[in-house]
Amino acid sequence: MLTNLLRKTNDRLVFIIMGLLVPLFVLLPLVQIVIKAFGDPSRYYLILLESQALFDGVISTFELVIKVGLFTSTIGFLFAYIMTFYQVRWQKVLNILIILPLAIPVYVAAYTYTNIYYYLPFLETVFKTPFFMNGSVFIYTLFLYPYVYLASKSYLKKNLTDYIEASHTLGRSKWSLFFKIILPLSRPVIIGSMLFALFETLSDFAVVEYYGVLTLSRYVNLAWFSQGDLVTASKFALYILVMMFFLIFIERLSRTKKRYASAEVIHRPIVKEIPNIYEKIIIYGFIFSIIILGAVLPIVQMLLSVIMNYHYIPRLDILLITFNTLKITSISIVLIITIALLLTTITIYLKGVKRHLLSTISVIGYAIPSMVLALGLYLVFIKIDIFLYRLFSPIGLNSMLFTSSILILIIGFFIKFFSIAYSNLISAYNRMDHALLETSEILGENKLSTLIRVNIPILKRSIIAVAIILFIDMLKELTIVYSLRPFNFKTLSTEVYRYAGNEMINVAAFPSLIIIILCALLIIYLEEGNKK
Amino acid sequence: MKKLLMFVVLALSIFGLAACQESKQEVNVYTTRHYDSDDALYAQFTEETGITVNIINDKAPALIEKVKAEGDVPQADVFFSADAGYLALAKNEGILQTVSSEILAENVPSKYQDVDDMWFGLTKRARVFLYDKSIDPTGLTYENVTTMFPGEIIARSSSNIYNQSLVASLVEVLGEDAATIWVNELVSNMARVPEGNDRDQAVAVANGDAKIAIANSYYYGKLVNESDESSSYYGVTDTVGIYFPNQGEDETGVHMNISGAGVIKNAQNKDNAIKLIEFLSRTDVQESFSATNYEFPVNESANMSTLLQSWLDDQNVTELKEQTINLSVLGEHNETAVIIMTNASWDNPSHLSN
Repeated sequence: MLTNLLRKTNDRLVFIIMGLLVPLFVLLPLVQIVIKAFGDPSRYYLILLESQALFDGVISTFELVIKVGLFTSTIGFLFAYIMTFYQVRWQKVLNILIILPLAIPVYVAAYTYTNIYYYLPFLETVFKTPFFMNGSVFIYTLFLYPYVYLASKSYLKKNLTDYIEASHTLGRSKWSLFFKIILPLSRPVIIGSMLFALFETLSDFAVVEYYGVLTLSRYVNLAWFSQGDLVTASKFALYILVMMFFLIFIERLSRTKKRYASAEVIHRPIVKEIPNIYEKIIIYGFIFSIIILGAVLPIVQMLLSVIMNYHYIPRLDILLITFNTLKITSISIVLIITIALLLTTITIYLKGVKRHLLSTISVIGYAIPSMVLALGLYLVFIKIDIFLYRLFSPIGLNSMLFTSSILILIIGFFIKFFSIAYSNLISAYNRMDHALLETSEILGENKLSTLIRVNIPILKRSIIAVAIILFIDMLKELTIVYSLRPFNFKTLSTEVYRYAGNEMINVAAFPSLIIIILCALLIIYLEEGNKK
Repeated sequence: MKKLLMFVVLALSIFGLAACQESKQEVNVYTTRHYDSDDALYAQFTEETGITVNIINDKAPALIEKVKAEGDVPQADVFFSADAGYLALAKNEGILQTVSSEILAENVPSKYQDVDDMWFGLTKRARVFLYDKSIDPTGLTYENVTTMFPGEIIARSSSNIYNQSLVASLVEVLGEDAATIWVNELVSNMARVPEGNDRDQAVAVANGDAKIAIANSYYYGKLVNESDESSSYYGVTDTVGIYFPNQGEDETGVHMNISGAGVIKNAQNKDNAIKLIEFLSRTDVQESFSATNYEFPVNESANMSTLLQSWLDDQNVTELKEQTINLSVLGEHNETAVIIMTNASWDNPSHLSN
């Protein structure tokens, strides 16, 4: 029945509406920033311009981005390579442990590491050094590399069998296979996923402040929180956005230069190699050291904190806040994936400038610092709310429709995280055989029903990967929830934020651990349950 | 047609959901404070009065922008902030209204009230020195700290509002030029690049990274009562003490900042809002702030907790001498303070870079 309804729907209209509405929506908070940014500069801003501060900020931001980019992509991609091409023991458990660091918000990680350094001072001597920018590069790398791992793994699994077999036939060595074939072919995926790690690094100010590193995002924070200098904050937010666009531009370049399409949809499974003893030492040494630093140590530290602060547990209302968390994340994930599927379908039918414009606009959301996004959104929706309120209060509307409900929270999530779903699905689409879609249409299906009957089953694995990233990202998102939630609405992340902000990281450990457990359960369910 | 009908039903049901929230006695609070102890006091208020307290916490500038955008249908009734500068900002942005309350006039000393009765201080915190107990801090002041302990001082970053307010208060007390010299002197005597939070400053002193840290008295109370032995904060106060500077006869007094609240303009529950602020100023509630959240009461008939009293006793201070400034000036001088700190490279002291 549904498909019948779909066949009759005028898909062109649906697509046009979506193609216009979504970008418009994502642009809303950006417009706010741009308008504010062109306001008259404050005295503080002028002083910053005169002093060395702005220049230094740009330099250290670049240094941070380059180092974090290099390390996250190296670690993330090597992990994906090892897990795909080698037989590794405890594969399932290791896979989860490799992803888990992503479930720990970077600043919770930074605070938690203060306690870890307290026990293991030699780690502090190694990682809290100028090379790691007083420890900030270490934290961002360790807790953001899973972005690259997740994307690279699903790419490697599917797309390279043919090339590898050809290469084997030609008698190439393992090294030349890796450097001449696998790495160049994977470059767009690595860079694309690394961008998310960098966006998160660029918009975070808590870790750099904690470690005393002066980056641009700290000036957004500084201006905004001293006397609410929104103009200066917006100017700096805009500078950061320019940097992000620069990064997006580079990514586009890397993508358009070369495009390797795979002819088949169903690939032969990769034959995994058994590592020799030297490879074993390197592989396990590498995996274990990163896992211990990124997952085991922080989790053990948190467990310890929970035990030591058990008397706080009853205060936390853990069932209610977990329920609230799951409510907003599940609604948002379904909404985002549905709309992302529609919009990616539109995108692949578009050509040239329109296509670039649509895909660039749609990824902006993630690049906007959450703090700025949340406020921008509130300012827009309170206007809409007041309008509705005036209109309907005579007939009984007695509260704000969006801003005093979780609707605005879901919209905030949508704008922030839509880009993750969109860009991942687009790259999955690009790898898909488009002849299939044409066949479907020749057989009389319209684009919408093709989407449901052909695309979704093929993209299933990518959709699952997107759902995992979305879930993890939403669970740990603090600023948007904190700034847009209705009265008395608490989630796991707001409690983490509240206690961490009150310098009680050990109490924040409990909700943090619940977040980690939920993520682990979801990864197990989606990754393992799906194979059967 | 069917679809249209479905849409209408959906719209109506959302609308109905929003509309059916029954009206009850309540008060809506926008607060920057995020303490369990506050929640306990709100619960006590509800129990006593039957008025439900609804809370949104956020950073002050965000809350102020929200109230401004809400215009004449504000969503909150009370604005509660942990810094006097933000209270002044809220007033200047025109989001507060004058409150005339005999109870508040009696409970809150006039120096902790806005001149136009738009906000009322409720608790106090001192910006103090935490010191390595192996040294003798006697006679320490904000002014002489750099000569008494050259190169041995640490503080957190300049984006911390309490540091900004400290500098703003010195702009008022000493004048802009002297405050600039003071900040420059301090920065050139920093033992490390500002990092970490207030409690981490104490840890750094305990680890021997510095002799003196600038921190908030409230966090020292949390350190004293840290029971988590696995925490790096545990046991820090064994070797780190608290010192209230500028207590000598001709000295200017310690810098005190306040948490305070005001009623938002056009508040829908104005009476309840006033009741809540009055409640928070009451003697027993003030004592509760002091006992559970290590803050100084503003109500003079309230006793400070034994812990706070012991700090004063240890320093032989009978009556704590505070800066004699109107706290509104913290807001006025905030930009100047931030500029002074920026020009002095507070967050990247030149003698420590590279």
